[in-house]
Amino acid sequence: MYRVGYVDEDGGQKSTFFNTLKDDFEVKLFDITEETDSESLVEAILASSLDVLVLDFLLDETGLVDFNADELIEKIQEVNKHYPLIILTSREVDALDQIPDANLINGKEEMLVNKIDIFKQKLNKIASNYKASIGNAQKELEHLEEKREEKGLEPNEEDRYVELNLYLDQTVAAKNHISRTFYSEDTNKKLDELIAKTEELINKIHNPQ
Amino acid sequence: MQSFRDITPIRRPNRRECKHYYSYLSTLREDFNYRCGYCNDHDGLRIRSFTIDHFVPQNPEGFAHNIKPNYYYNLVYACRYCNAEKRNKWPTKDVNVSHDGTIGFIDPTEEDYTKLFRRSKSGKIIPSEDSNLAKYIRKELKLWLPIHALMWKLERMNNLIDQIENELRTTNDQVLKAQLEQLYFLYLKKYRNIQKSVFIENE
Repeated sequence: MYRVGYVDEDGGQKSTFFNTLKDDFEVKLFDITEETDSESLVEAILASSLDVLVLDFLLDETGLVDFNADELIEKIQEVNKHYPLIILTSREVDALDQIPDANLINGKEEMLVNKIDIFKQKLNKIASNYKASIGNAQKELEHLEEKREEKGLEPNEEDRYVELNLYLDQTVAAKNHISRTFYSEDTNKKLDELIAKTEELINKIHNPQ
Repeated sequence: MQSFRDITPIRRPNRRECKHYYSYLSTLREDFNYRCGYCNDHDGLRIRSFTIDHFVPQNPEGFAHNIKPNYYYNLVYACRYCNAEKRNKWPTKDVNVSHDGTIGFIDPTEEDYTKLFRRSKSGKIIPSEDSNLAKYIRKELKLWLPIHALMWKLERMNNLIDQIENELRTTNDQVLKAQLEQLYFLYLKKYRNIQKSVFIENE
């Protein structure tokens, strides 16, 4: 059973969401109070081991907070560019205006009432795709890492190795865009050589023959 | 093989209670010597951000407990990699038993955590041969990920630059001085290239 998080400032909406999905998902509701700021909310979300996150778009309607889902998504994606999430909203036009990725946006009433089965299927799909994507990348990288250690990589494998590292970086540190050369064999080798050379020299200085 | 880490982090006693666990970030950062409790990567190289891990997870798989989210002595300063991998894992399903010798975790503030791993010459985190628990932790936290060895190398490089600077200040041996200066130059050049590659602005 996947763990789905829900962010909404409206208590009634939260309980509707919970009751609609509780049989098929482990539902985690996030509280929004006057003290809630976007940073701590994002941290709480990231710390909650969710498989998929659902956000109401308009969170500032009651004046409790001064941010909406677009700000939260931006902050989440600074950490994890591929974080599994979707938006549920009654204000699709506003959301389309603010959210760069239109695919994330879903009509709230429609989804929770008429298309509830499709909605559940969608959540399951987003969660399982994300899990599989990360899992496969890690598995492939681990295999390449072992091969690299044992006998080295072919040029196409080396490319893939760098690509997989960069992809996984995007799921934990997306803001710090790292270039391809960082993970390359060339960078690694040069660093190793430089370190060995210096260690040798410093060793000589400290232990003269 | 080299030791996994030089210092075992210690959580300070009698820390005043804060309402939100995130308020402890700077305290934990100091207590953990600016390093991830799990992989020991230093946070000075801002290649990734650091955060707070709940050693006993807040919502562990398959059971519940009463440890409050803001209980300071359950918190670990952690890099996002290790934090994301640890998630809600607590395989013993018993809040009082962190591991059974084969599966589970050891609090990084315990000396025993240091003994689980070694570093290879190029900085890879290697589990102790005789410890199944070390193998389990390495696998679950993905301590084999290349980023950890690279972070270690960058830190080693930083330390060597410091050492070279120190030798340059104190030596009168002209031959040695020339050799060191050459290395120093190579280091700075390499360092600059790496820095450039790490901090590319998103277009």
